[in-house]
Amino acid sequence: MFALNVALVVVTLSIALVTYRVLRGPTWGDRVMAFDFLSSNVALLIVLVAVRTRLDSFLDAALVLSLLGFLSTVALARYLMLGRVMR
Amino acid sequence: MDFVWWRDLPILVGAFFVLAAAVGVLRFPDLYSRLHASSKLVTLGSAGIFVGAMLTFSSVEVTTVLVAILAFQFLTTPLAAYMIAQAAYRRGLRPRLESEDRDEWGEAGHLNGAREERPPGGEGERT
Repeated sequence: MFALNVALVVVTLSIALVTYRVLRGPTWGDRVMAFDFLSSNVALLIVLVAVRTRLDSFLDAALVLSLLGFLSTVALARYLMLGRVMR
Repeated sequence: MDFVWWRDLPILVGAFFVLAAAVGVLRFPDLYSRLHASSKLVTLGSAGIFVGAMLTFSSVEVTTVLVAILAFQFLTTPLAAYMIAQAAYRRGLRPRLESEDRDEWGEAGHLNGAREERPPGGEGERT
């Protein structure tokens, strides 16, 4: 339980650090990259909460969040490159 | 304090790699180097945390879901980083090269006024 608390604090701290990069990021690529980082980190945070509370229903939320994070990152990168998401 | 090393050590290692990725994203000078830190270290950190979660639960259902998430992350995190880098490069963002870095020793005041001298080995050496 002690290691889980340490891991929760560390992952939350990294989320807070990367939020600065989302807000400040000099280019839009930085913001998209930090947003991808945030989505995968929140999935990790959900997995840690599932381990701490021993409720395995949280893992489905982590699965859906990682899927949506990848999809939104690809959509944002395509919009950044082409100016449109789909033709 | 119930520290069981075979299930808590992977979680701690993964959390360390995630924190290292956050520090790299915050402090690297360039989008491409930040993408490097983000994609590789987040993949490794999520692998550690997921392995720790599998060993803690030690049931078939949870292991199935976690292996699915982990395989998806291993497949998609480098792909997302590649797409962001390609988009930024096609939009015209140049990577920051080593020869364009700041001259910190000169800016610290040791060489006042000699700022415009190029270091040897840069461009302009051979005609």
